[in-house]
Amino acid sequence: MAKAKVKSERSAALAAVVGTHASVPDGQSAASSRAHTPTGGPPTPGDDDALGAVPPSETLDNLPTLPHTGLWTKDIPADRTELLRQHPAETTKFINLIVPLLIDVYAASVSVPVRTKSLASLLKATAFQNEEQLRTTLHVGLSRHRLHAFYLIIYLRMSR
Amino acid sequence: MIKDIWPIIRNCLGYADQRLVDFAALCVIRVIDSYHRSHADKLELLVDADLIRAVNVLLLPPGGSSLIPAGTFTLLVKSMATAARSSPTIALTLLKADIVTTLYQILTGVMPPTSVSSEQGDSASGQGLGGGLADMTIMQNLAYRPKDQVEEALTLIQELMPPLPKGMLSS
Repeated sequence: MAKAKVKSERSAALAAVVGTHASVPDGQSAASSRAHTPTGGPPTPGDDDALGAVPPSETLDNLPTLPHTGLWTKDIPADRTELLRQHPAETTKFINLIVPLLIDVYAASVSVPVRTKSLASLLKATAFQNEEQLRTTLHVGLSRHRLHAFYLIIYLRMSR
Repeated sequence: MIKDIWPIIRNCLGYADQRLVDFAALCVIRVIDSYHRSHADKLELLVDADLIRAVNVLLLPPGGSSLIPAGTFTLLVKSMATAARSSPTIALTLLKADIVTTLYQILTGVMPPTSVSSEQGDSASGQGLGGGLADMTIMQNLAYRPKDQVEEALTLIQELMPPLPKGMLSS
């Protein structure tokens, strides 16, 4: 029971940090549902609300060191995508500036690690954006020959 | 314990003395490296907007590498990537602190275009000219930069990007 409480404290602390951007009830309910599944002993919703009221610095100081569970690391990708979707201004600015760079870096470099990394970043950027954003990125950010280079890269990678 | 010392170290990063800045940067790097696995939440508290701004100022004029030796520069960028990997909040703080400009300058050597226009007609031609110019500068700059820095900058970009949907990237 103590372990469940500590685990829910930690999830609430993480949700509280993320929850400054997201809506708070969603973050807390998600955190409580995450805390439910591994332990099976449900902490009460009143418990989580009381913990949410405590400022994050205090809860973090009171926590003993917890080992990283598989559940902990699995939550982080979902949070990250959501977090980035909630701040479209910075994210689109970042992607629009960086994607032309990555294409040029890929085209200009010979060493395999550099090419792999730039390609992976390109993949992430295209997978993240929806169709409208992709159109903006590809047409506003790229000059004509770079656009052709982009298509060529995609075609070559897919045919291999 | 470290929280009390932290503002002092952060101030040290802004000094003009080369060796002092070097040691302060090494200190920050070691703290980030030792904290990012076990105490990711404490790392979030430490690596806040102020620290990132200070680091950004250090990295920004690539002639600010008159202040930092090349090895420390590489390690600093690498520790930024580690911090971004360990916590999404830090990644968002990095994006907000305009690290895009720094990365652009590391890879190209010129300032990124400041005008962000959504219209296709004008900006396409303008970007075409700027794009052609950026190509040559990118290639020249990449040739002169030490290879490690380019790799670390790419790692940082990779960490800042959104994660893939599950099961996509195999290698």
